[in-house]
Amino acid sequence: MLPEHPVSPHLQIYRLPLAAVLSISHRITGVLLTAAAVALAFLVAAAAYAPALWQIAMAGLQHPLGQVVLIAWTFALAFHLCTGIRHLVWDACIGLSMPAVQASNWLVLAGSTTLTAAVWVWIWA
Amino acid sequence: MAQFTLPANAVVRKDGHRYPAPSDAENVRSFQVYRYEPDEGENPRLDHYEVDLDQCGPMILDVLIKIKNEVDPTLSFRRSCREGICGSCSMNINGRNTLACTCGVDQFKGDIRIYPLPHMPVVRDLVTDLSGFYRQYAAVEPWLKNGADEPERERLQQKEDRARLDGLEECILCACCSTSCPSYWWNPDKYLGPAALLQAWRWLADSRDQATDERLESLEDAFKLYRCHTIMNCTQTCPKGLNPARAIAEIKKMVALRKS
Repeated sequence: MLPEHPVSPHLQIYRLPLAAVLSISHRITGVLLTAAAVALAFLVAAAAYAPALWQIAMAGLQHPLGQVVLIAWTFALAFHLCTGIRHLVWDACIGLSMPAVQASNWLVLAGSTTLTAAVWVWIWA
Repeated sequence: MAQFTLPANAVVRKDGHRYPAPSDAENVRSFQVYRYEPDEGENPRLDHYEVDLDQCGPMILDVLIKIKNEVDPTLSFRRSCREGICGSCSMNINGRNTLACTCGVDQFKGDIRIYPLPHMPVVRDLVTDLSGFYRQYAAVEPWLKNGADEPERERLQQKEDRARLDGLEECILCACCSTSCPSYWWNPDKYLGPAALLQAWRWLADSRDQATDERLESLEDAFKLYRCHTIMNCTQTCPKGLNPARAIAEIKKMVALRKS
């Protein structure tokens, strides 16, 4: 009897186009933002019930490392927003030609970077 | 649950055979080709073939035929028309799915890696089992459904109605798109995949077809249609330049508009 057919390589060998990388990033940022929303809820609860814990959290977030986390959080939010809007446009059957997708890839990246930069310029100014 | 890694029997061994080019060859290119021989009882492997491009045609298919004719007759692959219309020689070349016959060697620099279509059961070497893919095509019932009596002559269409089928009916069912789609990789038994859905839209878009409700009802399913997450690999990889992603978006839109 012949052995079971092996499955051919897939993720291991496929050269993912930028659009596919952005697609999986959309999902990953969605998961991270959900987790971050839970963390935010704990933080707000701490502010109400455990002021000492709140003080510690604030000190942590003002540390350079904490600021990096917050910037990443902002970028994830801006990125997920931009790719989300692109999904809405796509669902209206607009911008699905390959040149349009390649243009909107960069638009999404530029848009989320600009939004993140704008937020942090505003915070630090 | 999707398995992102290869199961033990599918892991590719690196210690494949090596076939050096003739010593007098000047324009040598190295090709790494996925090999699997079912009766050996061993895992798949990568074989390395050095080919003298000065003694070979310009396309990847020419290289494979040269290898099979002159170097290693055990190498198996499907091919027929050698001009991009039969869809037989679809495979993964340097990480993207395409037809070997319309893919020029000069598109690439360095070694060229040739694998079978991704995430498919391998029958042998570059030959995959496409029966699931064909069942999905059959599942969209790709024929005209019109309840009216058989007409005396052909059913007429306005020019603009016929134009809606442009970019849909040119599909050659090579399976490049479906096997490029991560959603299809993780749900090959439940998601219909871009190729079958492009054909589903081809009949939904046909002014002569009257089974729109029936077709949409069958398609409206969390897996059959909505596993498409607009990743766009299908459209990016189609060797015929068609746009399955847009066809799927049109179906989703049609379902939504019917409900409102």
